[in-house]
Amino acid sequence: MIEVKNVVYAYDKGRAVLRGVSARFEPGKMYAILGPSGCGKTTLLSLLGGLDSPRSGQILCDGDDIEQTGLARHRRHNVAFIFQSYNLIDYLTPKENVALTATGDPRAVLERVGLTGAEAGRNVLKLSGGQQQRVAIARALASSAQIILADEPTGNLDEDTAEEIIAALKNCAHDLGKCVIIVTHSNQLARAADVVIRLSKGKTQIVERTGVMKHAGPEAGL
Amino acid sequence: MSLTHRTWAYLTRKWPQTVTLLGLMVAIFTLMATCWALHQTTTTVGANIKTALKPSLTVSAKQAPDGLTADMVARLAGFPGMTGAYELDTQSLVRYAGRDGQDLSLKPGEKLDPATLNGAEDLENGWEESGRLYAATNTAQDGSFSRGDLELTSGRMIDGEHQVLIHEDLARRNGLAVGDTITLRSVESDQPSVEARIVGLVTHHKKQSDQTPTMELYENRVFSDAVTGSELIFGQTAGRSLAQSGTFFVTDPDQIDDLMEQVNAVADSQAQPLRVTKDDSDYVNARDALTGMSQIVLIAQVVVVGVCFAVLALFLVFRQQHRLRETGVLLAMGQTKRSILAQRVAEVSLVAVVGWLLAWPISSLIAAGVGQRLLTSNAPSTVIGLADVTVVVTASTWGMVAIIGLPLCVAATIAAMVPTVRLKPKHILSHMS
Ligand SMILES: Nc1ncnc2c1ncn2[C@@H]1O[C@H](COP(=O)(O)OP(=O)(O)O)[C@@H](O)[C@H]1O
Ligand SMILES: [Mg+2]
Repeated sequence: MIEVKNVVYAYDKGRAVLRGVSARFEPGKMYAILGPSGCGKTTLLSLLGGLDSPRSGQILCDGDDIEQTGLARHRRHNVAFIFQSYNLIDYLTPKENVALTATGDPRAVLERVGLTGAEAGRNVLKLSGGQQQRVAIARALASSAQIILADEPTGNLDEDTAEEIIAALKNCAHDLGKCVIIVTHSNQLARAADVVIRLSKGKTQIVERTGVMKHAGPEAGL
Repeated sequence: MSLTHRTWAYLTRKWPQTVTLLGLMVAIFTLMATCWALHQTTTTVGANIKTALKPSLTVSAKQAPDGLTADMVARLAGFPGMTGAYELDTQSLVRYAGRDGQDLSLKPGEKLDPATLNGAEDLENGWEESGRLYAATNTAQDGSFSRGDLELTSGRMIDGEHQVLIHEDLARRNGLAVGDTITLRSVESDQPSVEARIVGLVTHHKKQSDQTPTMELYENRVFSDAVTGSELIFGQTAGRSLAQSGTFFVTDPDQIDDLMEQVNAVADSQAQPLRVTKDDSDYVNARDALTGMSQIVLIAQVVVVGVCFAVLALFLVFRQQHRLRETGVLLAMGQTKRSILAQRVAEVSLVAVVGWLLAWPISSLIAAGVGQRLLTSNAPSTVIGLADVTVVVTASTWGMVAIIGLPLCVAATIAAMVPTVRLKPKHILSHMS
């Protein structure tokens, strides 16, 4: 479980982007963070992933402040990223990209997201966008991390492919029990989420509970 | 996914980048090795010329009737700072006779005008009908031979006592050949005549003016060993006077002035005047040329190292700009900055080592060709010791290049990564989009 407590963040010299955000994310659920462009969704996600530290407030992972336990450690053990632009290492094959985080056999994970053995050994840049994003998902799945952070994972994909990716992510949450947090402005994705968090003016304003899991929503912000 | 695997995958799959980097490395190491080899050669040559160019002090006793005595020669040769080696020279006007006692016929030169001569009585002594004898320990070192004015055409050089070289013309005029014996008598002293065997014939290549008197004509010149000369001038009483002048070789040409002062002190204390001159011009010329050379090489070395590694660092910075995304992604996946840096260092080091190996044969070729030309074009061609020097990239040069070059490669790699390493992962990721 990961929790954001009163997090404030500002870029150098700039106005605060996040002004006291609080939220709680639990395993086994898929969260969608919604909000207009520039409202700080990516910023919030990178704080959750330990890519930077908040100006004030805390991020707790299983009750421990990640600042205390170490950001690199947090990145290595607790979270896995999926980016909009896939961000595969271009000189590594899909198999090797997955092996960057995997402890076991990367081929099994690639198979689970629907990549054939031949595709798994190919140059990643020769795969389609959907296939590349699947590799990125496999890379996230293969790690032992319990929290998956995805920044607009369907942003570059057509609707059908997006549907498949959403299904795969949902699978991660519901079948594998991971905590999947997705930043998006896609309604398609928001509809599939168990919990929707709206971010605007630097605060989590509205928390929508969707589906059947009404009992476990994140706390509302201020 | 180990570091080695990542390193290897990058180097082999991004091979155009690898080849470019390799080319840069080969160029850097080749330049370094060539400069180093040149530097080493100038140092070696600098040490060699001290003895090879035979710097010497010449003590002349031409004005002294007794010449250089055996005692004096031993004393001068034994001076601290002298190598102990010396060469003796004597010159005299000589009349030559054949086996039958008849004077040899000489090539006639310009008639001397008695009015312009100091001692007209000398003419009566037969100066007009004499040739000049050059007696020396080492005839081959005589300037007229080493410059090529004269050349041995048959027989051999002098290698023992009572041996002479005569001109082909003199031989032809008098029906003489190698192996014949002639008799010599100095017209400048009262000593008895000396017999010597002809061991070689010479010819001359330098033109002489029409006004050259008989005694100065190349055709009438005779070369002999030092003993023959001393006997003609000073008589057969061996062990007294050896020659008119002696050349004494010096161990360290840089100390030649001190030594000359000491020898002058000895010369001045003699009853008969001795004149001391130094001959270190070959050494000084070569040394000055070499000093200029090694300064150029030294500057080149520093510039080469500086420029090469600035270029390498720039190249790596530029390449790192293209690898920001990769860096950000690896960081996001929990790789430490240290491990990413280690991968860069591993990549560059591996390429550097291969570049270093490839540069050896290349720099050897360049050093041998360009290096040689550079050395000889910067030094006077007369300088012995430079002409036959080969510039080689030795194993120690090669080691030096690695010892200095490889750490600099690593330093350049680290320097190129500094701007990235100082960024937070978040900033790297936002920079790249
Ligand atoms: N590296 C940065 N430096 C300065 N300002 C930034 C940087 N990244 C984002 N911002 C600003 O912070 C705000 C939030 O950005 P972001 O979190 O990317 O928004 P979203 O992902 O919701 O579109 C925006 O106004 C954006 O201009
Ligand atoms: Mg964003």
